[in-house]
Amino acid sequence: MNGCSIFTSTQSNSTFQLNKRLSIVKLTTLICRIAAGSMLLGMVLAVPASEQAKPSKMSKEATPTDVQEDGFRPDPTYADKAYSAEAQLEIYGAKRAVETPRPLLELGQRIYDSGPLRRSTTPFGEKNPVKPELTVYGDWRTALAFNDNGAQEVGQIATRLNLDIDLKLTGTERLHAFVRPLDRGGKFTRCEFAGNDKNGGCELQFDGNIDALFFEGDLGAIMSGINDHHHSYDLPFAVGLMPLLFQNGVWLEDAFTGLAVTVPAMNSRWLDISNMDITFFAGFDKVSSGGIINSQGQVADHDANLYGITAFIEAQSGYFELGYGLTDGQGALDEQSYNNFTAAFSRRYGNWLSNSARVIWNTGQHRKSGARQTADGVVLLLESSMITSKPSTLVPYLNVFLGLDRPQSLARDAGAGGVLKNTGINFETDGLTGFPKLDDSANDTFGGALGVQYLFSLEQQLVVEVASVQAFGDRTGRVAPGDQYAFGVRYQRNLSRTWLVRADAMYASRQRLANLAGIRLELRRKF
Amino acid sequence: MTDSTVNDRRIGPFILRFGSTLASVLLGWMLLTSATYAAEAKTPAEEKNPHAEVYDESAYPSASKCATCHKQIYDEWSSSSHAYAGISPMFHKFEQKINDLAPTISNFCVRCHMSVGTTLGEKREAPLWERSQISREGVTCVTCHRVNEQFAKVNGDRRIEPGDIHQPMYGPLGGDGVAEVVANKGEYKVATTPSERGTKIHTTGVKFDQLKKSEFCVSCHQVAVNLGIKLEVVWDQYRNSPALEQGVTCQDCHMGKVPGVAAGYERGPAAQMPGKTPNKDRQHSNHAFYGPGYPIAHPGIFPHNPGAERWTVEDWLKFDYRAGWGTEEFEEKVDSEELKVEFPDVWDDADDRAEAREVIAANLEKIADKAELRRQVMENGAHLDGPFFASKPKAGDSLSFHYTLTNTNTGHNLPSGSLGAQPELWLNVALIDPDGKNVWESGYVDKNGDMADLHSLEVAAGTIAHDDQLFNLQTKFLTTNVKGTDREMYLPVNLDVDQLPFLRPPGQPVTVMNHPPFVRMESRSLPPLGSRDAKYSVPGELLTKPGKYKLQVRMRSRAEPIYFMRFVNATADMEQSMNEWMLDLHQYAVEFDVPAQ
Repeated sequence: MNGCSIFTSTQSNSTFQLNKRLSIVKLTTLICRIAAGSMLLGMVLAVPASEQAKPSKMSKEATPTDVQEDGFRPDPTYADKAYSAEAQLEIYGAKRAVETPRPLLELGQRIYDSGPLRRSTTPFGEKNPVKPELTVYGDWRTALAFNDNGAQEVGQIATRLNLDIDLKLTGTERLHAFVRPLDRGGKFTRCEFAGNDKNGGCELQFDGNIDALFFEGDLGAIMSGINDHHHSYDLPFAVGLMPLLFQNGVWLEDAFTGLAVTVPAMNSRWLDISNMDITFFAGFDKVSSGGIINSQGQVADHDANLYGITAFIEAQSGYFELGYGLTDGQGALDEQSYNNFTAAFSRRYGNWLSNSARVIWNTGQHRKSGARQTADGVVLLLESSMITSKPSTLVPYLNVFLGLDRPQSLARDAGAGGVLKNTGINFETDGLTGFPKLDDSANDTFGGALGVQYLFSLEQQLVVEVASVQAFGDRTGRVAPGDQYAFGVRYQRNLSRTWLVRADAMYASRQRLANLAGIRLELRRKF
Repeated sequence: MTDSTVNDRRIGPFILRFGSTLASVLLGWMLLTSATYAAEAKTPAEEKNPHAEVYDESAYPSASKCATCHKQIYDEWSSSSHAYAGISPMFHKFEQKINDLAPTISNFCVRCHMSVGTTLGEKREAPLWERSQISREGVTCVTCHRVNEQFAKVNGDRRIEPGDIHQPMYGPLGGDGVAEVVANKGEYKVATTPSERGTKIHTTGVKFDQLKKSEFCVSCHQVAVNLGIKLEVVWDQYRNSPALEQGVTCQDCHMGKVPGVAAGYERGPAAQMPGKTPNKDRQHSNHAFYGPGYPIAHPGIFPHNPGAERWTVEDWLKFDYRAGWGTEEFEEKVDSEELKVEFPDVWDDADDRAEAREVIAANLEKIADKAELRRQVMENGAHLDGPFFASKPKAGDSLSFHYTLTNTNTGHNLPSGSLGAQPELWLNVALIDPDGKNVWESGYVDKNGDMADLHSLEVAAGTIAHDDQLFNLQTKFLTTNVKGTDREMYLPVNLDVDQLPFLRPPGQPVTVMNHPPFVRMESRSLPPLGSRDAKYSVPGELLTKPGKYKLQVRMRSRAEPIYFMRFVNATADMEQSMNEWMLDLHQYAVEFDVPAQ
């Protein structure tokens, strides 16, 4: 039996044993069976086809009668509208050529090009044809900035190159790598030329490390190719060093070495779920969490494993995101292991509010050494934006949070900021020049960001925001020793089909800490 | 224990090293494959031709040529959504808009919608009248019947085999009929080579088994654009449906004898040859491809009609079909100078206008026939019950009730969400008092035809009230705000991160993440066989008059929202057609007594 062929051959077996040693194969089988069970349930509960022809049921007080012609409010009328031949001709004759930016390198079939498509090859089987495309693309960012982050005041010009290397194999399988050759260990290639703490020179930070390298595929498609038989399931998976991001990066934003498997696109007629995905994931190296730190106080990303499950459920005119994970410290760091539960619900209310409510709760960390807990908190986030008369382009927002103790995401890459990164622009640095930000840890604090975004005609953006962090509880060991207030502004626009310019400025007043200030101008070339 | 000791005991670094090595080997292999690939893939024809990748139009026979023998199939196809794919004005407006906003999308849309034209290398922006005939045919005969590779989820990246009309065609059943005709070609008066006289036909019909399976449809009907943004998800829904378990295929419901129901197929010949018809008792798959979509193009250019080819596309677009050109009534007024019209040169002759009117009339009839098929497929896929009152109605009391809508279709959600957030399906319920006056309504439309939700321009302007009780199954595209939650957007393209969105392969394994970062689709559709209550409450002050009240309901189906049409700069005529051909389904009324307190 291969992969999920159990779907078609053993679906009548309603029970199964889950071995304590949850190997990858058994995990896959489990996932397959969950999916199979879901489908079987749907089949058993099927309504006969004749159902659609039945007369409507109704309350006994109601009696069928004739529809009143003018009973509904009228549809638009077009009596006065003149026919426009010019407008008709414009539909088909006034389309414009658009210069298509090409990637740095394309081998094999070019992305979304015109012309005859090439014939596939079938090394993976007739039912999973291969048509390789190797593409190298990304962006190059260069910023001029003057930042005072409270500890250092530096004027600099810094640059960063992001390169994605994608090798598409089949419709569902690919290899993907990501490298950042011009920054290393959080330092970027730069020249510091101003400020009290400048080093007065230029530094090339060359990095040959691979930041991501993963294989992504679909077991159903692969097995269909191998067996030359169409299988009745889809089972996307990924393995390798892969960046994962859940809940817009609030719950998880990290690149770790591991695997992930999804049972996709389920539904439930009983729970009225339109669509649901369940993802199982595990990480065995490069798992970064502020909750797992070594004796030097640094994130011990080689000494933590990660096991998790998350569900994405579309129901109730919105969607739920539920998850559980175990961030598992290894060896001496086992005492820092912690459980992580999350729940979120997002939807729009009437014509006035878009909202997401999220909670992350850490529990289960028991430090035998008596050291301070690193992951024992709760963070509640209420993210809201108003629906205005320009719902796509004018977006006032208010995002508030309450953090108790020391809440942690399941895992966060060092460059991904803190758990409050998505709360406001004043909680986010720029990933290039060390642009200052407020305390984003939610460690015994509450606060939020109130701002407005305007997108003009979708070609430029202006964001203005005020934000605050209010500290409470015992000051000892708290990340923010006092209250913080910030004002920030961002302007961004495209300059051409490949260039963008962005400017940011912020100023923050901090109780018991030096104030923050930053101003920056960035040019970005995408390819 | 030191950190290094801990490291030595763990499997993470090993997995990383092993994975990297494996990936490097695979990468090397694929690079080699890529380098030798073009040479391997060349056909004999390509080897002879220095411009091997360029084919001319004769390599892809037009549907109008196929119509000579396959008349019934051509007629069915001619008004189908497949045939409409390259003509659709909304497609062209949308395609331009998304290219303006996300320029890397390039030929992604036309690859499916104008499959042969794109294969021929036509520019995506080429005017319709400069395109080849077969390009205008959209998803045409050869789009499916010249495919011999078993594509899966390739997002429209499906190769069409080139070859003139005499080259093999691929079908689900094999080529017995063709073989018989070729064996007796004198009797059937057919030509199997370019030099022969007679009706030109393909010399063989090759059985391509995947054509009768749902897996054939997936390559175009489960579509994600780069970044992993899902646009069509009907395959996803089918894969977790009772229909899949029952062995019901897409073709069974969308090409069978009853629209939307797996009730078997009609029987008949695939081809009608002059004087003689082979293989008369064959499974006939209806090529109307039943679905809820409908055309809003000028009826001179769609449905496809060989009689219309006397005039060019440009000529047709100058023909004011709405004013009645070519009708007796109109022409009499012109003759009597009651009407003074300055006709374009091409339509200056009244006889031409009269002949063109015949084409228009025939095409409008076909669109009306298609509307009936649309009605059947939608009514066969849904059932409506109600009203169910929460308590006995009384004058002055608020009235709470609900309807229950059931998706009786076993194959996918209702609606299936084809092309994501555009198809609309909602309930319109009205309460009429004893004097015949509409006193309350939900699901009403604004003056443009949009539901009164957050996208209504009138609601935004404050000229009509928001419909708080609206029951709407439309899927929504969402993009994440610059910070915080997300909002409904017209397109699944995030312009908050930056205003130059590049749609490239995603940097994350998005198939295990539900959606790419900061862009998603939110489905509100009914799962297969699922039901949902549409709950309503009418304030007591609207029911003060004792007597017989009437509740009437209809389910409304429209292909595109008007607000979205305006976003892509659709014309007023497009809006008009979109609203005029909207379907009202399961419409019925009930009456009930509201006694005095």
